[in-house]
Amino acid sequence: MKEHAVAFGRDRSLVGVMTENGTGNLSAKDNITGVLLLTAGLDHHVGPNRIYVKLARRLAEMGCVVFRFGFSGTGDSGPRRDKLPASQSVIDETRQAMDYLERLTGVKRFILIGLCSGAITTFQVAVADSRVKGAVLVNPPAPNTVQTELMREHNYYWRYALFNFHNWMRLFFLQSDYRSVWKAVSAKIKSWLRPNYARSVEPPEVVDEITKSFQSFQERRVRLLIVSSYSESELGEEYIRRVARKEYKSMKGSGLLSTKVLRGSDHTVRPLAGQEEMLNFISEWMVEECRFGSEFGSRAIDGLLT
Amino acid sequence: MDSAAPLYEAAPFYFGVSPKRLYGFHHPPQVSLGKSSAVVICAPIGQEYIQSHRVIYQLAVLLSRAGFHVLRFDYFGCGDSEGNFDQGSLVQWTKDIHTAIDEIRNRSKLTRLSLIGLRIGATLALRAAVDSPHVDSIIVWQPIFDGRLYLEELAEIQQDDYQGTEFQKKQIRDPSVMETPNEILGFPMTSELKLELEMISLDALKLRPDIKVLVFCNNEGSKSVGDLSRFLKNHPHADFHVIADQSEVWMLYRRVTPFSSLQYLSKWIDTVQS
Repeated sequence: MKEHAVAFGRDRSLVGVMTENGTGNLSAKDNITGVLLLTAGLDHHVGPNRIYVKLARRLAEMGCVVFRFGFSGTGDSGPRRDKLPASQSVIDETRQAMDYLERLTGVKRFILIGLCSGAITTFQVAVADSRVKGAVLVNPPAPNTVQTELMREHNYYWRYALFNFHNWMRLFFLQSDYRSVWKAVSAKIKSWLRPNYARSVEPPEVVDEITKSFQSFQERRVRLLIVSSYSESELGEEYIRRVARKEYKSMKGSGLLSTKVLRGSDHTVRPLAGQEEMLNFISEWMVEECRFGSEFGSRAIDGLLT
Repeated sequence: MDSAAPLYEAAPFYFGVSPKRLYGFHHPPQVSLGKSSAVVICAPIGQEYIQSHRVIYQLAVLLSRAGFHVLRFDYFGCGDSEGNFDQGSLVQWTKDIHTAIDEIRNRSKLTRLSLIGLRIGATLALRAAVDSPHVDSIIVWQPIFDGRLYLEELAEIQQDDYQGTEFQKKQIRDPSVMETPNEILGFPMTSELKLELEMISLDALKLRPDIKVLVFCNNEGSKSVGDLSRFLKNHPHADFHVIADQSEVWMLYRRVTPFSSLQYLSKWIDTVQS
């Protein structure tokens, strides 16, 4: 396996590391999948807990060319010279990275992987760029909306408070926040009675964007993996499931959407056992992904199986 | 010279010999002031490095704007360097500092050097300075002089961080997990590394008397000053500075850049090297 440090972008101010399996055989270009690991917030391109380094090496061993880089103003990358807001510059820079990798190695087919806000960028670029054939969203955040607040309360009661002795004591001794308890229970009932309840309380433009994105993924046959840590604050997958209910079910049914839960990890995938679990989920999905796109898949599968 | 026009391009690269190649980032001088020394920055390890990475980048930029060649690099098994964290050791990482010193000397064509070390990087920088004839000044920023205390602090932070998680529930079921953690904040902690950290001692270190030293720490860090003052007792060129802004840039979720601290460090290097 080989790692190359590179500076790229319009003024070569973006910095990243490309990892490949070291055969040097990048001439078999059509068979190679380019994987981009997108960072979150102010994170460095090694990722939280250096997990992007491990992931890049694992995927490179499978035959992929993996590129992890820092968005402008983060990691080793310099600041942008224009005034483009970060929400747009991350999309622009991800596409610059894809252009760079395409020029350098000839790869035309990309999988994007991102954690937290990197998952949002992953989602947005997957919608906007037809070169993206698959996307992995790790702990995608949910928007700050009414539905998210309802889910947070719901998860607190159903995953934690219900099984906590002290909470039951507080309930019996009239010390609970009954308004909040009732809100969570009534939201649960409403969601049973009205399957589109979540959709109805959300801003129409958000619902519209997610719905259209999912429709576009289905048309283009883009595959999606959502990996979520088991915690009441990891709501991204649940949000999509509730808000884009029909499209979510349809994508799952057609095998385009997979979901996995990291039972023992926090948001940044600590401790180590959770990291290993995440690496396994993603590499297993990559094998399926390669089988799915049969025209390019044999190389990666062979790499994994030998 | 136009201060906006860099003399060379800042660039990432790998150096050293495979399978222990190290990732480095050379910040060349942004102005030609004829500085006669270069700077190597020695980072912390593990989660402390993840948290402080951008501050170290900003310190390097500041020093390059002051006219210095600066090398930031990742130890073996850390950051972008080859290897896995559990293959690393204090001995290996001290060797890596020597490799980095050789690299920046080749690139800058300068023979004199300053080292700046943060946390365990400070401790490693002191060790490397003992064996290097090229180092003539060193900044130790919140150094680790008591490895046991350091491990206890990290374990405490980990306990707070894992509050309420499945990992903590596992620890409650099996207390031995808590007593002998084989990982610290998302990074493996091998028994060999743990032992090395516990054995950290300054007693055997003999710095050349002509090396200028700045100890830079906050009130919390100054608890180690007892050890340090023993170490520096007879050192003719030792400064001590308590950080005013109290930024603990290596801690989880801080992400605040202490510009006044970085300026102080840059100015100190500039002064001792002029």
